Order: sequence, then C-alpha cells, then structure tokens
Amino acid sequence: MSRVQNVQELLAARMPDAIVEVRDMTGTDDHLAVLVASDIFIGKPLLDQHRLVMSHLQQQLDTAEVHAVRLKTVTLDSYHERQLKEGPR
Amino acid sequence: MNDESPRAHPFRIASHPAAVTGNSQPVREPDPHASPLERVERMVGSADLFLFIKGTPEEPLCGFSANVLRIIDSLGVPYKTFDVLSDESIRVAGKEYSAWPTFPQVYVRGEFIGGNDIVSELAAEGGLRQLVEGHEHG
Repeated sequence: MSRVQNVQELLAARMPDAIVEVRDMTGTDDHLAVLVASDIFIGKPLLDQHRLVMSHLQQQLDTAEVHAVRLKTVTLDSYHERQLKEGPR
Repeated sequence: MNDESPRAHPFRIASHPAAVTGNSQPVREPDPHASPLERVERMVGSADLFLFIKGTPEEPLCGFSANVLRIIDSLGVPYKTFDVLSDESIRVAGKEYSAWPTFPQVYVRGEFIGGNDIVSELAAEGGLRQLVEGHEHG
C-alpha cells in the first residue's frame, strides 16, 4: 500500500466524521498534501487543529516514512464552500 | 520579489557563541551545563520572533524553511534563527519543546505559533502581522 493510501486510511479511521484527501506532491510518495475537513475543528485555533491531525501521523513522521506533510484543515461547511467554488476534481 | 528588502534584518544565532552574526543584541553565552531543552527555551525567548529552520536565512536547506523565511522577511521585522541541522540535540529538543514533529518552527514572544502551513495560512489571511505586532485578533 502506498503511503498516500496509508495516511488516507489512517486518518479516516481515526477521524470518522472527516473528509480526508491525501495527495502525493512530488511523485515520491513521501511529501504529502493532506486536506482534512471535520466539524471537530469548529472553534479550535489553527494550531490545535493541526496538532490534532499531526498527532495521528506522529509515527510516520518520527520514522521519517513520511518526510513532509502539507496540511490544510477546514470545517465541513468551508469544505463544501470550497467544492462549490473550485468545482469537482 | 525583492529579497534584499532594506526593512528585513535577519539575525542568526548559532550553537557556538562565536558564530553569532548580525547586529542584534548578542545572545547570552549558553550555559555549558544547560540541557538542550533549556537551551531551546532560552533561544525561543531571545527574540520576539524566533525561527528554528533547516539551514540559514542566506542558505535555507529545505523548501519549507525557505518559504517561511520569505514570509517572515516580508514582515520587515527583526528575527533570529537557529539551524537545527547544525545540532542534533537541539533538533530533538526543539520537537519536544513545541510538541511539534517538524521544522521549520516559528515562535512569537516565546510562544510556538506553527510551522510552514500555519504561518502561510496566517500570512494569507493577514493574521500573521497582527500576531507578530502583538495586536489581538479581530
């Protein structure tokens, strides 16, 4: 299983309400762009939102299995707004 | 883009006092008996704006560090940096101190505010300058 799939499934399992999108930024499967949309982020400072997601990826980052993660966290409402603006991918 | 902005005054502190550069107030000589965590705490408190990066402002060795430096430079306020690749004990202690797994790491008045993603997002939304200048969020 690729790391993209691995991270995707891990986050989806740990954050059941979330929409998770993982993308390979460099084609090397170790620089990942991660978008997580969840209402668990509502009212939380950005740093706390990122800490929450990163805590699930701690092991992959510690072992340098994943070298870098570009993370974007949004609420479900703003996720759907983005979808409307950007159109389906 | 003009990287030679006269408003930007990057300073650097290094693991060895002799390597301190720039015209900031000299960093107090580290206590040789201080633990890495104590050294981290002193470093992040040594400037209102402090960055742990990979490489130096002149020669960042990671794209994310380069990006954060570009954003911070654009604020035109003085800051200090430390190259975590130059000292493995600080690299380890820096992650522990912030409870954050990656570098770069940005501190404002001793408080960890985030890495590349958060700083980029704050900058895009205009909140970074407010944070650095000490205004409350609107």
